[in-house]
Amino acid sequence: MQPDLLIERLQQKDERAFAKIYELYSENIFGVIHVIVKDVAVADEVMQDVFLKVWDKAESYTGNKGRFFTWLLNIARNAAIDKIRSKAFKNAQKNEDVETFAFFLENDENLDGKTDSIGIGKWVNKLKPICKRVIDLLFFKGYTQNEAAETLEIPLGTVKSRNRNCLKKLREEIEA
Amino acid sequence: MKDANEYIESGQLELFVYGVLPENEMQEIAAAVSKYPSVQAEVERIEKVALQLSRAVSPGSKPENFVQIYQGLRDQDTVVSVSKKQNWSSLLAWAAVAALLVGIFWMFQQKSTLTNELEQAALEKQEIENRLLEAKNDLQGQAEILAFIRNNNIDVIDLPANEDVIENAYAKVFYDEESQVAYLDLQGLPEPPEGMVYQAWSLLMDPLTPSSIGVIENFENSDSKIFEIKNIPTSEAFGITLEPAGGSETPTLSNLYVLGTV
Repeated sequence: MQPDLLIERLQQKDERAFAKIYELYSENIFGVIHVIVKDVAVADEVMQDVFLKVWDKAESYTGNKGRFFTWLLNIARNAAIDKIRSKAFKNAQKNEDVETFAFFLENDENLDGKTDSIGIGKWVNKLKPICKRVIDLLFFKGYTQNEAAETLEIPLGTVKSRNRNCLKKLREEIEA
Repeated sequence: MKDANEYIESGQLELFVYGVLPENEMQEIAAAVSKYPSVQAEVERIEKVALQLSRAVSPGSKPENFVQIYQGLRDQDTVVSVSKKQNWSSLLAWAAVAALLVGIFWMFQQKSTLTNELEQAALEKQEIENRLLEAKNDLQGQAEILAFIRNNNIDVIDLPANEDVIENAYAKVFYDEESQVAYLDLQGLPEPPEGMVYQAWSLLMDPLTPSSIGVIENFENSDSKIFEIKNIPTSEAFGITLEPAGGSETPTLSNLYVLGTV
């Protein structure tokens, strides 16, 4: 499931491997960035920074610290969070009313050719609100368990299991 | 140490895929993933959902993004920042045109590189197949020779050197009288000089009657130096002489290299 060979070639600065990695993961990364910055033009900008970092820092990825997708995810979230903390961004902030990532599923008017998103949107909407928030904070925003527990005002010890149950429910629906 | 099921039930694997565990736990789970196939399978299922979720919320990234990123790789200093859009729209437009051209050029280049590599690979494949075929043929030929030599009815005749003409030479004949076939093993003969060939003769002794049984035309090109000759008349002896290219009607006795009796 992990494209090990591609990753290895990317680490050797192979441009074709880079293009392939981009093809494989760019929509996922763009999705995560967009959930954080909530603006397509800003997401475009962050996305460029992210993939330049991926190119520059590819050698620093090693499998014994986690999945390659996770590594990408961390770079993307960090870059997106840096962006929304910047002054220029705060002055022009939009989409204040967005609560969780699910907003972008429910409100996506441009559904042409995005059958995946229609399918998964249906399942996400079936989730309890708390599930949407847990997944939003942990997966999309990269909150630690501590931060998530504080924000959601739930006991620290339940964060992991709640997230697992929510994601499991989603998985069962998708796999069914 | 937890077992595979405990990891799966712990809820840590989800957070591992999200990348939000403390570093020591990230490493612990990574180790468990390599240790337990069931943990790895679970992590891959979680990753699949995470990929689906994140893709589903993407509003679709523009294809130009990649061109700009690619240009950025080539020249980190000239990355065009989208944030300059308000002030530098005309510059950005030109940069976008340039980026697009770079992108198109790159794609053509990639395509032609790939095409070349493909052609090269096809040629190499053909060459390897040819070599394989040659090797198979060689092997087949050698198997036939071996089968022939092992046959009980074969006479093995040593043809020692005619020391007056040449030293340290020898030849062998594997002769099957019944099928009138012989294999000449000429490994012990030197390469014939330019314009000359070896010619093999069958001899009857009384009276001495030589008959040509074959001219060895391709001595230099044979690796094994074993030559098959068919339709051999009843023979009491075999000899090999050096003759002008094309062979001779009668043997040149001053060039009789090897001779042996059946």
